[in-house]
Amino acid sequence: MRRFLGFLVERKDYVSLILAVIISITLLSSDESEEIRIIRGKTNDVLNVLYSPVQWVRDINILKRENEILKATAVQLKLLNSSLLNSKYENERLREMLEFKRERRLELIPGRVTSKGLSPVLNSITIDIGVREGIEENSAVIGIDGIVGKTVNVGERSSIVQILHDYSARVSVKLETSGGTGILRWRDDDTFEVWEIPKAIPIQMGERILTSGHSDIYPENLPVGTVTGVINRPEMLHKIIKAEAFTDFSSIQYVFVVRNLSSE
Amino acid sequence: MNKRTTLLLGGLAFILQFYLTEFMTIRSLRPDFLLIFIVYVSLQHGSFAGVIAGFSLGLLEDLSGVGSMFGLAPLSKSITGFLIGKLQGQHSRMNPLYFHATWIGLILFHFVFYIFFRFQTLYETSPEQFFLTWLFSAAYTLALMGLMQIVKPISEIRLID
Repeated sequence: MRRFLGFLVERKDYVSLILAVIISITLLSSDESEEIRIIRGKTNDVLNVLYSPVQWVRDINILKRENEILKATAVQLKLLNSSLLNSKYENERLREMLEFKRERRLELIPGRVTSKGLSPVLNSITIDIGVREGIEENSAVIGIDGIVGKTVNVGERSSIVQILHDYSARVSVKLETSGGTGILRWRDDDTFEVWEIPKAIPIQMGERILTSGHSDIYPENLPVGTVTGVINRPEMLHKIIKAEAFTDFSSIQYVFVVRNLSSE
Repeated sequence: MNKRTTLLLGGLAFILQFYLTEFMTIRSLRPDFLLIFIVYVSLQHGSFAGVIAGFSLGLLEDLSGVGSMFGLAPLSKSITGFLIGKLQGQHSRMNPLYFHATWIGLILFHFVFYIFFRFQTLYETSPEQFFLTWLFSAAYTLALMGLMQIVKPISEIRLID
């Protein structure tokens, strides 16, 4: 026994490496376990407080710029609002005519981005709302311009959001005019790809991409991005669309969490 | 550099990573201050300290928020810490060119490992783009490592076991 312990101490670098690898692989495989979720949630609540000075500096820097953008957006929205009101009345009339009573409602909870993680690759953000505000795991997170991602870990006062930049993030999407549906995933930088688009579907450049609604997480018709290119090789069974997201993930400051979807 | 100083510098590396990465993000990629610290610790204190520093800082990195693959950072950083730790005290014995090429190569290996898991989709669809992403992310951290040579050259690290 003494010799064995001596051997372990002598080879402590190898022993520690083996232990570290075993623990890391266990963590990787138990990513979804309840204990890990609780630990991540609690740690995130603490780190969220530490991040407040950065938030303060960032807020001052962006306030002026944001104000200008908001003014311009307000004017644009006023113009858009009048046309949307017309469309709304028209839509209501048509719904009545079709006796289409099912209505979908989104309950949005505003949150503020407090941190963007320490990882060398941006793949998550932390927001300052959690269980106390009624946030649940696997809730869609959207920004002003479009979808951002989904909550993967919810703490008492903060939540980790897996953004679309994460390699494992997938969203079922549809093309607004051509109607094709596919699976969106991140490629690199601000480029995304939509897979599984049938070859027969004619794609238009600049066409809007929306969520398809074939998901328990993302409601239908949330704006995602626009088509920037098409990969259509003869050997491929489907087309792949190159897309650009509406959301600027590097400068995102505020988001909305979709609490639930209710049907009436 | 005693244990207390090492711990303080580890804390400093964490603070730099915690507060500066957001402002230093280029094309979704950030520098890795934690890795730079692990390289120095490993070269000075050896593989055991490299594994401990790599695992604990990697765990802290993942706890601070990752979208998926919780555990990847401690895994990659502890392996890198172990391998770089094997270079402890080798500067005076090895050809300096080989010595520097080896630790740079190990950092490049670290990023191959990390980027491969994070950019699997890109690897499948566009290997050239994957290669560029890997090169850029590694170069970003290596550039800061280069700047660190002005403050504390690796060749001047004294061996502490």
